[in-house]
Amino acid sequence: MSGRHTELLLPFGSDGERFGRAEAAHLLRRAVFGASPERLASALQAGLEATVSELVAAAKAPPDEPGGSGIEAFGLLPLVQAFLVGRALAPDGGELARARLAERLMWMWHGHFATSDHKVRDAVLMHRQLALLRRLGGGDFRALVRAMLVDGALLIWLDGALNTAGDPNENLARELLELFCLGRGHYSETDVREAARGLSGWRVEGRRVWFDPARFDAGEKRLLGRSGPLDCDGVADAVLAHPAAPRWVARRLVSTFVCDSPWPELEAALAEELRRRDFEVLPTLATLLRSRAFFAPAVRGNKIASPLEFVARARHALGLELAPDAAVRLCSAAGQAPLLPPSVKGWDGGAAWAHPNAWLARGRAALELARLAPAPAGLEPLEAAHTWAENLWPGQDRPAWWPALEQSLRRAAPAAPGAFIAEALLRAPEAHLV
Amino acid sequence: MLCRRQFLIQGLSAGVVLPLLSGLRARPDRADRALVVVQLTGGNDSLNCVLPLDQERWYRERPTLSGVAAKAHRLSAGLGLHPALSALAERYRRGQVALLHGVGYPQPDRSHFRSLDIWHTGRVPGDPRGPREAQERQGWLGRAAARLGAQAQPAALFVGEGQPPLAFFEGGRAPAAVPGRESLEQRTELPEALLAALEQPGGEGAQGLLSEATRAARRLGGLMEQAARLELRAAWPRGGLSDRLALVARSIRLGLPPSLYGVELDGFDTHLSQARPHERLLAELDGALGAFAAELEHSGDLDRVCVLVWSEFGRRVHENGSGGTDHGAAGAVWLLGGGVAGGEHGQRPDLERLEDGDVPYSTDLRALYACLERDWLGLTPERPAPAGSAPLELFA
Repeated sequence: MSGRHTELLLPFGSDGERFGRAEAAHLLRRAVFGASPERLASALQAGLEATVSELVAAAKAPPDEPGGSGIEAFGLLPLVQAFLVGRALAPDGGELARARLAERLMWMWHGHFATSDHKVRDAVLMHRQLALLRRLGGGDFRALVRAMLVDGALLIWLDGALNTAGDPNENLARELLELFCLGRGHYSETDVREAARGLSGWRVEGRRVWFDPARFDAGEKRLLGRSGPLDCDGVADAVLAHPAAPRWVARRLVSTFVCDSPWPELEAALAEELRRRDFEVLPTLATLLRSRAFFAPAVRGNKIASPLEFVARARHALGLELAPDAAVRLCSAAGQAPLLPPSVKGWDGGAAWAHPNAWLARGRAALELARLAPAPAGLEPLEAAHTWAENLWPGQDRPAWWPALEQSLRRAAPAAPGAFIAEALLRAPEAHLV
Repeated sequence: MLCRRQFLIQGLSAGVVLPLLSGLRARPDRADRALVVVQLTGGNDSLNCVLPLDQERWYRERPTLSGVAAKAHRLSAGLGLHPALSALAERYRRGQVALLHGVGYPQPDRSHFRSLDIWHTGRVPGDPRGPREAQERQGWLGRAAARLGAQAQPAALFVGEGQPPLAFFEGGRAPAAVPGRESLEQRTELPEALLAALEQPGGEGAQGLLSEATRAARRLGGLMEQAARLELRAAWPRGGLSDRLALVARSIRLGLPPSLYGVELDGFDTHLSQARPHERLLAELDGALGAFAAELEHSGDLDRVCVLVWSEFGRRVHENGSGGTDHGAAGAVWLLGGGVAGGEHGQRPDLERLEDGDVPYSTDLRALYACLERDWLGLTPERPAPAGSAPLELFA
């Protein structure tokens, strides 16, 4: 059994599989929101091993926040949203783009901790939380959880700031167990109550987070087999020592990078890898991104792109000059409003992205993005269509609808062939699959 | 005898409606009914809409705001409506408005966010499932839609910009929603044949899901475009709420699948110099509701429609120092339609008996929801009205 598990994580290529255009494109789509044709070519030349090393190394130290100080001063939600999305759209070749894997991880954790400005109502606190997720999201998951438990936005979102010795509020404790670390079925209601006691005493005043010993329940607690006068860190340690914790993190990594439906064998193998790597996320992810499982044929192109994945990929592959606030608007209409996850569980992803209303919005987005497409200079419309299709889904077979595109180009002879072709390509199912 | 929807399907089968309505089945009469929920966001000042003209304390506590008494629509002894609510007053006199006083819940919460959650989930404070259902996105209308929805999709539709309200969510899933009129068009540069090729039923897994989504989206978009093209007969005022309710009216006239509709009018958080802005909001509401009722009366559909107008709380009895009012507790709820039992229901607020400076609730919102589910939508109420609530008879 465990032998089969480890096979899933064996390096792709160890059986002679080839890392070609389609494979490089798959890697860059899943890990860094797609790539420009030049970035794809350099990844192809460097090979899988070196490309993953480079992505991981850059993600360890994401560049600072250009414009971050302005956010602290003005703190308006649209500004923070645009700033955030702008980082995912930064053009290939620059410093920001090199660290896009950190950005991808930040989005994963944003959906994991799923804090919404709808309740927090302070975009600066939200911005600080997202910066924390970016800074710590590739490191030790336990350190990330400890830091999040005293994050101002999270303390407001899950009523942690209302949790006191005399008047406990269990909201944060429950989600720590159920949504952040273990999943249902691994703890009791007593554990929830005991964890809540240990998390008591933290306050948020304005934007200042501080610990008020007078509000802390300093008594003895019994939590998941540990006991003592546990405080916040003690609770985090007790919860993360539970054997279900690595599996929970592995499930998040698999559902983000590999497939929408559960893959229990892969999750188990990756949990083992995470344990072996002492909860370090980036080295674990590197193993996954180099694995056979990651490149399994059944997995490739079989995941529904999030609105941001769709928009960012179009931007990178076609070189669209897309303003961040426009991207925020398109993503929000399609069901992914940054800083406003729909529920405490975050964005459900998968089939939930394909909700009819969200899909109508994607249709409108396709048209709007297509109008940004540069005119295909010096190319016949059909040649341009081939080039763009190759940039959007490199190395893949010609889609079944291709003859219909050729035919309508001949018949309609559109006045703006660039926008016409781009709209067709961006409405195609292939543009919404990663 | 055919029910209305059957008639529409058969009557229009030669036209373009049929392929768009492929999800639709004939349903029994009761299922032809629609519930249209109008949310007045921000906490509507109920005491300046439904005016307690015979209570001396009202004039005393509201020296500025009680000025509306002079031109009030007098409904019955001691009961007036804000002067801006002409259409509602007229419909009230014709027995088409049920006015339910004092709707709220125990331990009133004065936070917009919490109180909206409570109204949206139907879980009152102290209910251990309350916070959970808010965070899991379980709304009372979404759950009702799921129970109605086996026959026709979508069973619920929110008309408006942005995130639909929690009330319409079910198990974390957002309801079908369309924005106001202007952005409805599915503009495209592509010819029909190419669009059809792009959405060919394709493959398995995610690809199959996508082509289904694309078809469902086009169906919804098509339904709504269809609705938007239907000619209106009533005189509709200009305004966002009018646009949204006009789309709902058209959808109802066409017999499109949804049984539950939602629209929102924001701006009722009137802490400061409220007289003018409140009057403008009520005029927008009244104009849109009046046109909505006229539209559906004209087409003979008003009997199968009930509009519910509510807000997350009322406001304090005492006018604050800036000519506005602060967050309060219970408020009146209005039902408008041909099938309602017109007139007053519940207990008029007694301003000599306040709690915390607020009108306490006399009807639990759970009793209201149970009545709507049972007597209007024909559903078994999800939760019975709380013990001790007086039975509500809101429908004729």
